[in-house]
Amino acid sequence: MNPNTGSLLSAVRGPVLLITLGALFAIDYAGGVSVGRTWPALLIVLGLFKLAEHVAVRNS
Amino acid sequence: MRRSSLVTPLLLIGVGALLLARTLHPELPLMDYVARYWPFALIGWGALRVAEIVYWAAASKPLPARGISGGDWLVIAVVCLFGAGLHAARGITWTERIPFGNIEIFGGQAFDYPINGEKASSLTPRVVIDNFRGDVQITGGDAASVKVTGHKTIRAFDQSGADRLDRDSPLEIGGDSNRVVIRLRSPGGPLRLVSGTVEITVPKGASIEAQGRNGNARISSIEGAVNLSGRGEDIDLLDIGGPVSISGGRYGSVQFRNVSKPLHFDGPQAQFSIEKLPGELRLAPGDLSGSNWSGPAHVSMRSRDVQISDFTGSLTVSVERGDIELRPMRLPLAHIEAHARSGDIRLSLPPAAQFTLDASTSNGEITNDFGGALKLDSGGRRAALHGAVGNGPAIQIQTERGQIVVGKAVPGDAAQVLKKLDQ
Repeated sequence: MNPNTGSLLSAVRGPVLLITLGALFAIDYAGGVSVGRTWPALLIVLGLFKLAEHVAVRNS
Repeated sequence: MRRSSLVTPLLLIGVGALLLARTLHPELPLMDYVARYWPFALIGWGALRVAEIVYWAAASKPLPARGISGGDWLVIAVVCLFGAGLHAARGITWTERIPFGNIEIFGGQAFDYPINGEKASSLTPRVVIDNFRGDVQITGGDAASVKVTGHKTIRAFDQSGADRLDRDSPLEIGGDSNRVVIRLRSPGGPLRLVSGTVEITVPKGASIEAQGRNGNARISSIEGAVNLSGRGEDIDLLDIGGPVSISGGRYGSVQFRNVSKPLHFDGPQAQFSIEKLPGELRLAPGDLSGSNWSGPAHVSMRSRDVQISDFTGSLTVSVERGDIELRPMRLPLAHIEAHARSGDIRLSLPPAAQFTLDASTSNGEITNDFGGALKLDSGGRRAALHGAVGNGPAIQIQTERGQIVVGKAVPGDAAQVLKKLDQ
């Protein structure tokens, strides 16, 4: 894996979390599932990024 | 050198454009747009940052350690609080919901205008209320005409804007003497700038049909059919002589009293049909309660407690999560079927009742007041109660997780239940 992958993942983590947050609110307002129930998705996204960063660091 | 982002200048340009539009066109409901679409600002912000970072990475430029800084998260938290607060205050959804009250906390206000109209009709007209937003009270009377009185509420930033919307939203009473159509035009599309609060007097032989309705509906003393569809809030139907059919979603509390013909209700969380309802039925967000029903009746709920007393004819109740309490009170009994996926079931029968019982719980206990005529089998977490008391109709009770009580109704239960309903 490219050694820069880790820093790229680290840099885009925040923006992707922000997109997820906006999407959860948008789904809520569109009559879907409320943010009060979907917020754990943010933890899952954060966890996936941490995992990917961990793998990237080990492979660099 | 710290790499500067495009997000901050774009954010400033966006906020400036919004405020400029607000000062140049005060009648535009910009706050409604903000309340509705602010989550897309977060999505756009995030997408722009991802695009920037990917571009820098492709150009082999140094990347920031964090795509969103601590200060940025603070701004995002403020945006979320403001946006969610604005959204809640305006009660807006994309799927058309009436705003609650006239709450205007970020500018703008509500202006009221009287609305009146009358149209001669036959004694048994079909009255159609088309796409009306607001609260409607319909009462049957003796006059051969359809009469509308009330007011409309217009949300605008100033009087001139409200006057303009008033001219663009006339009350229309069209059709002919056998089919009267009432419509309140609402400019602004789904933004619901105009809503009405009206009392409609119709001939008591009329039938009522409301489509695409938003708001509360109270209908009384009507001998014809009542059909309501679309989204609404509270519904209260009293003394209806014809069949009643209600379909749609997002209902608040629903109440029916004295419906002489079949009643059908089809909502996203609750469905029921009853052959006749001399008594009453109330559907609240947490429970359904009713008394004095004439079956056959079918009730299907997703997540509510169900309490029904004093019913005749067969009854089928199915609840996914919630307790069921049934008190038939009158003899002879008819076929009763109750099923809960998760919840207790309590059946209180008259002491002289005759019936054949088949009750089971996959995870719970069963209590029996009818003695040895009913045989209890229990093993592990399961329990079942079978048997016949005299020669009566079949009663089937089943819950996957919960207790079952087959008890004898004690005198005074009926009064207690009715008192509870009145509360």
